[in-house]
Amino acid sequence: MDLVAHLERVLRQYQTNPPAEELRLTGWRFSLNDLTNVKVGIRDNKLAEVYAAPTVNANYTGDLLLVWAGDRCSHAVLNAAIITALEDNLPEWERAAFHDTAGSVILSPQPMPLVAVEHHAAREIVKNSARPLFELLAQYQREMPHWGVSSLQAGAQASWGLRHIRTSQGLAVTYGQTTFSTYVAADGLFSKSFVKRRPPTVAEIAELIETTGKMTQLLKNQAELHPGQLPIIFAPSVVEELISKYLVGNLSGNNVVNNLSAYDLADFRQCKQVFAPTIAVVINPLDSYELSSYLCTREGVPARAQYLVEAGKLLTPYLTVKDSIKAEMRPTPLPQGSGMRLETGTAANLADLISDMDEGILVTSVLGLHTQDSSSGNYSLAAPQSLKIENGKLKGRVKAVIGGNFLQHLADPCTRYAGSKGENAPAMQVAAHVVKG
Amino acid sequence: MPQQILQAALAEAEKEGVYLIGRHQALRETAVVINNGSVERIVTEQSAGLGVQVFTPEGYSGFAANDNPNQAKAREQVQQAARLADLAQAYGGEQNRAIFKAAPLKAEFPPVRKYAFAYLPVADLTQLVIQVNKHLRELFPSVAVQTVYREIEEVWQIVRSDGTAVAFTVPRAVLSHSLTARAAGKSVTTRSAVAGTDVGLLLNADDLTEGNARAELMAGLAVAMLDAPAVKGGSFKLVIDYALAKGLAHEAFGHAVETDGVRTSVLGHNGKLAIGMQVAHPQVSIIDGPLEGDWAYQPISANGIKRETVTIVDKGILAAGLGDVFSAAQAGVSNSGAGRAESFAHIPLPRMSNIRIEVACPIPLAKPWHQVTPKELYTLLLERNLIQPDEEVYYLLGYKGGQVNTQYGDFVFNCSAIYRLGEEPVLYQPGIFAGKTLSALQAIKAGLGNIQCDAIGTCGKWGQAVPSSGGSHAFLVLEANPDIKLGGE
Repeated sequence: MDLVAHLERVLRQYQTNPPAEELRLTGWRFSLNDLTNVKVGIRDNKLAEVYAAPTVNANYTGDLLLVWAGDRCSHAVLNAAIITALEDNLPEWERAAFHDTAGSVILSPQPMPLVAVEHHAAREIVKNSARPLFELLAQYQREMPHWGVSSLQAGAQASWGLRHIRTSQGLAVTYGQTTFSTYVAADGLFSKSFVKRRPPTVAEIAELIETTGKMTQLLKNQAELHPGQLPIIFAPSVVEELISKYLVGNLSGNNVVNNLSAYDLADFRQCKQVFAPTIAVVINPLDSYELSSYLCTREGVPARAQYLVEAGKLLTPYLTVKDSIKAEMRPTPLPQGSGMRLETGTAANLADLISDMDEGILVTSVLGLHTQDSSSGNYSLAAPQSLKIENGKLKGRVKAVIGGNFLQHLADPCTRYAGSKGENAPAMQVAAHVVKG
Repeated sequence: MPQQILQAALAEAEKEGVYLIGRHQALRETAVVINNGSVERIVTEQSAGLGVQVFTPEGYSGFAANDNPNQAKAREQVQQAARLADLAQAYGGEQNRAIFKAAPLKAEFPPVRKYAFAYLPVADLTQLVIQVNKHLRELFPSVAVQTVYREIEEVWQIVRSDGTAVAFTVPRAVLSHSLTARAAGKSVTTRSAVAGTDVGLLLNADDLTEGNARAELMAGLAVAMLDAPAVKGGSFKLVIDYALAKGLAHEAFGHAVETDGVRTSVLGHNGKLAIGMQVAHPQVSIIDGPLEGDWAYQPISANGIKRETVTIVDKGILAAGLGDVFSAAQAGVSNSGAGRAESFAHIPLPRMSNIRIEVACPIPLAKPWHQVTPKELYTLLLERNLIQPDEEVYYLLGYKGGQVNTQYGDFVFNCSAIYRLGEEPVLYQPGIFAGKTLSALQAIKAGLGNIQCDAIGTCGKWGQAVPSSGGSHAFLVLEANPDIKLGGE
């Protein structure tokens, strides 16, 4: 059965000729991913061991909005079983409907941009052979011991599928999309990953291996930490996590309109200055082969670059159609994966920050970020894999417990940033409270 | 229908010459989200899927999952998994033949609950959730309240090529609140949750009272913490509530004894769990096992083996691990049926269920834990000579999750608020609790109150989210230890 065609046909039937009048739909919208994923891993040096066995997983995931008379809405999670038994479920969904005027709006179709989100090499892995995944892991097994790594964890996965968006307003979009991700974790000290919509190049794999190897070697040396108020540098991967935790939460339109954010609607209407004037926050789903890229949101909002913060001033939260109506603003693209980016206008790189520092630490990873209160901006984190910086040089590993406020760091004109090639976020130098871990 | 699908998979596995573990999962869920008295969303979900894990005679493994199972697709999945196992062999993958020695089991566990799934029409259910939300809004008008009620039913059927056929149903329900206070440009969010098996959480007066009491405590803290300063960082004597004690047991200890990680665990020695090692004061024991009606209840492992209750630490001595069929023997411990999977689409891993810390001769409490004020706690600790009047002691309450690196034994967990105990307790912002596995349990000095093990969470080991739970006495007292740090200024 063609599940998408079946779903569309039944919904149109319930819109035009329902079996009972109370089941007449006034509108509908669905987004459905038909995805197949192939992966394999290394655990404790062992390729394809029982917990990391080669896996193929085929599934349908998506969501459905139904609008009934009187602006009553139902939401359902879509999967193959639900679609197959669609007509059995519709009466139950009608009974579960609730009044939601803002939530019942279905957008008219709009022109879509062209975005490269499907890569032939990733698709071939899924459709034909998982051998390239094994080859990549075999390369890690061969090369990581040269860096003195004795305990290796790694993984590689590729996915391919079709994304379908349909609405009662006539939007009908189907496009192919792929993902490829891989990571290496060495001796429990350092890990690095690659996540895009295409496989890595030879140079990108070499860089992944070399960075992991070098950082692991550095972290095997011990150094002495002098606690107190210290300059610390968050590595780009840590800044990416901090953005996901603090900015994605506080710039969510749903959180803003429901007073669950650090900012309220008035802050956006007044373009309140919340960060330093050099800071911008942008969602850009148009970059080729980035995991964060797409053609349109599940509601049919076309992808476009959208600034949420410019020159340190709040412009708009990211908004679904429903939240945009409540906020009386335009709906926006939504962040996906690491799709919320920080622009800092810096020309410096990480080596500059390190070489300029007399004494401080480079935080390469943190424990406990998911436990923090994003609305306050406060963080209190363990950073057991940090590197001491002394006289502009990376020394050995120190264990630190760090505390500060990420939102205040972004507002602080003394905070320094450094661009990093191939990373989704800049490195960031701040002053924080540091306790010996 | 699931039986026929599983039988088709078994027959295909026999034809392919591979051993099969087949898992069929059917899931139903209703979620109601209320924001500040209004319905934000009501979502219903129903799904089913089949996961097949095959083993070649040499012990190479492959896995295939599909969310639209039927007999033909089941056969195709077995073939896909077998080809992947062949690929693992071609690339010199790891062999594991332990499943061939597992004893077959036939068992069925029907759900134990008072109210069936979807007992109430969704409209009635929604009104009850709105009432709970509005009650909090009335008590704390300055606090934004998001209330989420989720009711879940999972039906698992597991078969193996050795004739094993087991089935169990897990009913779960949770009522949670996100509570955000804002004033003068500052924001603080706290959370609270109660869990059970069904809509009794909203219908039973006792359950409602308990849920409201926890939410009111956390809403009050959100408001109070708007002006609270940051705590001083360092090593101190600490008092933690039972939910944080669950975090301590789970992060500091439980993950380090899961047998899939023993090869690199800080509690491993030459690939074996260091059974017999003194890891805690002799008055401390740690137990893990399924409790009927619990948020993390699972009577049978995802590999079709009965889940045992295990005394991991017995009077301070490491006595057992959390083992599954694939790695228990390698780790030198018994297979306790600890394999759990997020869904049919995931490969099971050894996981905790309900983990609790028990301390011998606990000090009795005269009232429920959430009614004990920081000042009353201080007075009681003084009376029992567990602290001195001028001692710097911090009381941490409200578990917010944790994380561990089992290879180095570094763990963290976080709280919602901190009080410095004294005649006039002082409230501080939360700070991370960071420690070392081998020091944390040694620091436990005393327990106060009865065992309470309904602290819930979601464990995300290796990217798989499964329900976790546990607890301890209402409060635990931990001696200051240089390896245990409170994050702060």
